[in-house]
Amino acid sequence: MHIKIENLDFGYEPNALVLKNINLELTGPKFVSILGPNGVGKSTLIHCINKILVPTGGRVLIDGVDVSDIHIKEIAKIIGYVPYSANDTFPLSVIDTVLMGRHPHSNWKSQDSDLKIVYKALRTLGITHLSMRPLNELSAGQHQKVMLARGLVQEPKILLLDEPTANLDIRHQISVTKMLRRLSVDREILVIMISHDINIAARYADEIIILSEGGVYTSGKPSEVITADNLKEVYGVEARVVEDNGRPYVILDDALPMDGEEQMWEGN
Amino acid sequence: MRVITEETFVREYRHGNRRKLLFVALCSSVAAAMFFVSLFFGPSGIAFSECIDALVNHKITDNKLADMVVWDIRIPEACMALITGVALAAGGAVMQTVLRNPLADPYIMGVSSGASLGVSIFLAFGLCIIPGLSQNYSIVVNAFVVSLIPMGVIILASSKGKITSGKLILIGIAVMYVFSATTSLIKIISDENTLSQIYEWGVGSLSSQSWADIRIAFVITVVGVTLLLLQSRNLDGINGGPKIAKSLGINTKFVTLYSMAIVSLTTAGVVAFTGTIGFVGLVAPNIARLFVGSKSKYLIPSSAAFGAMFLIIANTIAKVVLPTGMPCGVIASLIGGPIFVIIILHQRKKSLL
Repeated sequence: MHIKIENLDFGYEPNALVLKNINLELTGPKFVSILGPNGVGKSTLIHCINKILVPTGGRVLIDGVDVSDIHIKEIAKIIGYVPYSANDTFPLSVIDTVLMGRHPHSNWKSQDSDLKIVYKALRTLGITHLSMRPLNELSAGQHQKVMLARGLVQEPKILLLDEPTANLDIRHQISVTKMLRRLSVDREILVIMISHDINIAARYADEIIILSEGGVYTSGKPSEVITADNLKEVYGVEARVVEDNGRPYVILDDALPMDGEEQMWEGN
Repeated sequence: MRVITEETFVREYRHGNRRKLLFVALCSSVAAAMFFVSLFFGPSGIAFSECIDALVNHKITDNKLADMVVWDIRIPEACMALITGVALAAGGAVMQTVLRNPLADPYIMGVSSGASLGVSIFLAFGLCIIPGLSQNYSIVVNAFVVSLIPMGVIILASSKGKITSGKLILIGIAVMYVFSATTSLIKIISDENTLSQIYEWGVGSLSSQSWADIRIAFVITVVGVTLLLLQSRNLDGINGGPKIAKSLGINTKFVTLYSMAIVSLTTAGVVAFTGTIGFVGLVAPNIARLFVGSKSKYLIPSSAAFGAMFLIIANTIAKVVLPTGMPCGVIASLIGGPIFVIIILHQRKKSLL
């Protein structure tokens, strides 16, 4: 599995590009984490990879084929996507929600084989007891696991995840991230996860991409890119980075005033 | 915490789905029973025994009047009640899912206001889109064609750019206001006789349908609902939100516009004959959803069966309460409204059987 992003531009308005001239190359199997402050276009970037958004300029190649030439149904067979949140105006049951992930592979009736794949995913995430419950009765963490399960049953070669651990408690943050890492090894797939938790990413990811204002600031092994200088430059925070088991560990000290940014009121 | 085995998991899921089909079967059975009950009531004052006689000895009975009343008035009316219930309720279910809004109904794209305008244009000015038809068919054709204009406008408008459910709903409402205003203008300049004709059409009625009308409405409804049912997987994807749908390989824009166009066509095909019958398209899907959940594969048939049952009951009650005949839409809203509120207020579980 190989993703190549060439000179990618994207803007919701023609004159205001969110992503400017992105060049990236990712080869699986690997567990990649995308970091970066709010609003730099992390979600936008992964939406350009699976054609949810169409780039304003440049292109995305998957195994050498331009995604704009691949039908979305074919893309859905190779790329799984776990969104940050889901609509539940009319919630389906957990099992039906996860079963949707089989959509690219199946037809009108859900076969027993599909149901077995769904069962396996729910079992992996430890939520079989929720299977018949409607989605809107779940806690935020349980909900997120359901979204993850749907991504898993899609059996993709590339799995994109938008902050999959955002609503989870610390124990589940660790177990889910570990599971994603294991998934990349066991199924030999490319897992790309957007994260806001630098320490979790640094501890488990094979590679980290840091986005800053409109572009890729740096990318590489966690130990190469998680440095005090980079964090100061990209996030505007004062931090110490210590080494723990060969992986960087970040201790946050303070938020720095950023140039040209409206300051938050911090009290008198 | 209970860990379910794979076997139990598959079995429970299949079992749950069978229970949803049971709801469809139940509503259909009640609808079928009420279909026969409704044949014994009506403004013509035919006795119970005469009805039985006409039913059993069709065409060979000596009681020609009873035979005519049962076979050419009451049975067509009952058929129309079922067809209309199916078309409007299934359409409502799909519109609600596509627009992700429980307030949506099959008229949301301006079908009813368009139909009223089409009818008003004919009744006031004698203008028909296809000239030279009989009065009845001129009304049907005008209602059908004009009611599809808003959907056409929306398809054209969305050929470029993004469409969101919010935008679609607002466009539908705006079109509805423009059409209603135009209809009001026509009413102002119309004479008393025309005015009462327009009004009567607007109330909606299942009676005075010919067998030919029934056949057309039946075919349109069967084809329409089947096409919608075939989209049920895609509709579930869209229900999850546009990003999820796209990531599952669903062409959201096409499925949205296609489904809405089918609903508008089916609704127009029925409304052109019956006039605007409200309420059932909004309420039937919402009640069905409480019992079978939101999965379209089950929601569409459940809503359709419930809608058919609801309209045939409402129509029978209308005939019993006021034997001179009362518009079934009026009874549907009068009785259905309070029942709906009670169901919503008593709803403990958040759906799913």
